[in-house]
Amino acid sequence: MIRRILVYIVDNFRWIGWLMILGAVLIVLPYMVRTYQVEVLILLLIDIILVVSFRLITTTGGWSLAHVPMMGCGAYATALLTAGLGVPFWISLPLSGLAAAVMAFILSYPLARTTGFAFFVASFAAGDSLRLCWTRFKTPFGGHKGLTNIPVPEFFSSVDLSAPIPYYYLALVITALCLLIMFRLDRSRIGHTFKAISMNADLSRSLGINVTFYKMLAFTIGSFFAGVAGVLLAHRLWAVVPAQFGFVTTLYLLVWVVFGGTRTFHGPILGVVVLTFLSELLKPLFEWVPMIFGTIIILTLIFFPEGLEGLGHRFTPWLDRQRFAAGDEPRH
Amino acid sequence: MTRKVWMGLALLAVFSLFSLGLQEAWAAEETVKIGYCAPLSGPAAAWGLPGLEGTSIWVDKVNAAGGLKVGDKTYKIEIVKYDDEGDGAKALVGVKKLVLEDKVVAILMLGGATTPPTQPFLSKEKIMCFVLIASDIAPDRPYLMDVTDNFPAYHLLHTEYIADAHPKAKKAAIISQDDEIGLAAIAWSEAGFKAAGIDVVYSKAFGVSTTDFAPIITAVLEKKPDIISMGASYPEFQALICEQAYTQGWRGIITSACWDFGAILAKVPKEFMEGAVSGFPDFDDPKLTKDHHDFWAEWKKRYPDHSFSEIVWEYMGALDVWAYGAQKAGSVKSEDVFKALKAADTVPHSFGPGKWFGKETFGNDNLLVPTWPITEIHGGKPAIVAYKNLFDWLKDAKKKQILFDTLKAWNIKTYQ
Repeated sequence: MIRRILVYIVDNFRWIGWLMILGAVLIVLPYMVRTYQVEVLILLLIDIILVVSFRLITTTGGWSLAHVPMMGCGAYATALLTAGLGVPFWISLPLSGLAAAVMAFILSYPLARTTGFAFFVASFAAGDSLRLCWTRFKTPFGGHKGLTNIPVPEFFSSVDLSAPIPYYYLALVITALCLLIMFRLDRSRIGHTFKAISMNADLSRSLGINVTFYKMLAFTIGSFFAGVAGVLLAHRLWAVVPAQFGFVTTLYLLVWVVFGGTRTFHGPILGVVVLTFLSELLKPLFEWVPMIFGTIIILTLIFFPEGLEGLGHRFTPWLDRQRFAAGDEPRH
Repeated sequence: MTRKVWMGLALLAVFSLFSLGLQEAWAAEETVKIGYCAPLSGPAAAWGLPGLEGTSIWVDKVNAAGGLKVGDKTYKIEIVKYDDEGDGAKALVGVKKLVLEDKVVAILMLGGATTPPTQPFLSKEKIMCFVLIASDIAPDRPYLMDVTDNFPAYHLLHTEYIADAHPKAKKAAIISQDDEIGLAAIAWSEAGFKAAGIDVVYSKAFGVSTTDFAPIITAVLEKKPDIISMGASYPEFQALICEQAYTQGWRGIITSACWDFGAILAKVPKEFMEGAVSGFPDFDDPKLTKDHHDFWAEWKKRYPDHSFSEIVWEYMGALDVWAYGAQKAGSVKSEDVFKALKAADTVPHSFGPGKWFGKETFGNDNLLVPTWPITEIHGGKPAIVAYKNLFDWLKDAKKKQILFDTLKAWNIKTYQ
C-alpha cells in the first residue's frame, strides 16, 4: 500500500508539487488581503463548489437549470434545521446536502427521461416550482422575506466563525473535501460511464449501461454538493431569501461554466475564478461591466469555443515548436 | 516693555492665528463617508443607477458650500459606491466593505431582497440604513429607516383621491407581480379602495416571468372595472399591461405606485394615459418649491438625455434627512444621528415636514411620512392635483380596521 502511494506521488510529482504550492498560497492568502477581499474569497469558494457540481451533471450531457434552486434547497434545509430545530451545523451540513439530493432524486425521475433542449426547459420548470414553494408557503419557508437568524457555526468556543478569516478556512476545508470527492468520482468507473452517456447515449445503452439510472445518479450527486454550497452560503449570510436562488444566479453559473469550459475538471473552476477577479477589478466601472463581460464572453465563444480550458491545447503545439527549435524533445 | 518682547508677542499672535487657521482648514478637510450599496448593474440597475445622479448633485452642492457643519466641525461629504447587483450575498460583502474598511457612517440601499442578509450585520454594527421600501422595516432591524418613499402606504391616499375626484368610478381591479413588493402593493391598494367605498372586482398577482398579459387583462376586463391599479408593477410590466388594456378597448382610470412613461408611451397613445393617478411629480412642477426647481435645473443641465424618476431624488432625500439628524445631534456617529432623528417631532422630508409612522404596521416607527402629493397625468406629464396625509386617513377607525383586516387576509404581518 505504502509502495503504491509512493509510486503515485513520484508519477504525479509535478501536479502534487503545484497543488502543494496552491494549498500554501490559499492558507496564507487571507492574511495578505483586506477583510473585504476575504469575504469575496469565501463567496468564490462557495461558487467553486457550485460550478464543479454543475459540471458533474453536464458530464452526462444535460445542462440543468435547476442547479441554483438545488443550492437553495440546501440553504433552506440548514436554515430550518439549525435556526428552527436547533440542530448543530456539523450535523446539518451533510443532512442539508442530503435534503437537496433527495429532492433532486425525486425530480430526476421525470427529468432523466428528457434529453437536450427538453431537459434544459424541464429542469428550469422544476427549479422554478421549487422557488415558488418557498415564496408561496410562508410556513415554514417565510415567503418572499425568507428565513433569518441562521446561527453562526460552532467550532470550539475559542474559534469565532462569524469572523471572515475563520469562516474562510471552514469554507476552504469543505471546498477542498468536496472537490476531492468529485475529482475521484470524475476519474472513477462511474465518472467514465457519465462521459460515455454524454458521448453517445444509444451506444452506451446498447452496451448494457442503464442510461436513465446514471443520469439520475449524476443529477442527485451534483445536487448534493450544490446543497452543501447552499449550507455554506446560508451560514455566512445568516439569512436565506428566494430571490438569492433566482434565474440571475443561474445565468451567472452558466456564464462561468461557458467561459471556463466543461470538458475538464478544472475548466469551470478557471471560469469562476477569472470572472470573479475580473468582476472585482471592474467594480468601479459598474455601468460598463455588463458590456465588458458580454464582449469577453462573445470573444471567448468565437476564439475559444472550448472555454479557457482550451487555451492549453491551443498553446501546446506552439510550445512544442519552440522546444523543437531549441533542440529539446516535445512533451506529450 | 522692550521692542524685542513686543516683537515676540506679535510673532506669537501671528503663529497662533496661523495655527488656528490651519486647524480650521484641517477641520474643513475632514470627510464623512456615506455608503451607497445598490444595484448599479444587472437587471435591477434601474433602481440604483439613477440615484447616483441625485446624490452627486447633493454632494457637490454641500462640498461647494464648504462642507456640512456638524457641531464644531465642518465635514466634506463623500459617497462610497458599491454595486450589489441586487444580490443578497454581494450586498452583504458590500456593506461589510463599506462599514469595516471605508468606515461609512450610514448606508443608502434599495431594500427588498438585499435587506435580510445585510440587516443582522448592520444592526450589530449600529449603522443606519436608509431604504426605499417601507415594508423592510421590522422590529429586529432597529437602524433600518425609510425616510423618503412612502410605498406601500401612499396607495391608501391614491385610492382616496380617486374616490373623491371620480365619484362615478365604482369598480377597481388590482394587478401586480407576485413578489414581496407586488403583494404589498395589492394588499394596501385593496384596503384603500375598500375604505373609499370602491368595489374591488379583481385582485391578483401575476408571475414575475409573465411576458404575455393578454389572458390576464382579458380576465380583468371581464369584471368591467372603472379603475385599473397596476400596484407596484415593474416598468417593463406597466408598458405591457397598458398596451393590452388599450388594445382590448378599455378606457378608464389607471393608477400605479410610479411610472416609466418612456416605456408606456412607446406602446400606447398619450391620450390613453390622460388622468392617470400616482404620487411622484417631476421637480419642475409649479406647486413645488424653489429648491425642487433648482435641483431640476441642475439635473437637466447635467443629464439632458436622461428620464426623470423618483429614484433620481429619493436616495438624495435620505441624505437630506441624514444631514438634518447629524446637525441636530452635533455628531456624525450613526447611533447619535439615529437618536436625534427619532427624538424629533417632525423631520424635514422633500415634500414637507414628516412624522414617524409604522409601529402598528411594520413593528417600528421608522417610516417618515409627510403630506404626500397626488399627481395626475396631463399631456404626458405628471402634475400635482392634491395633497393627502396618511395620519388624517388613519384617524377614521373604520378605515384603519379595513386596512388591518385586508393586510391580514393577504397574510401580511402587522403589529397592532
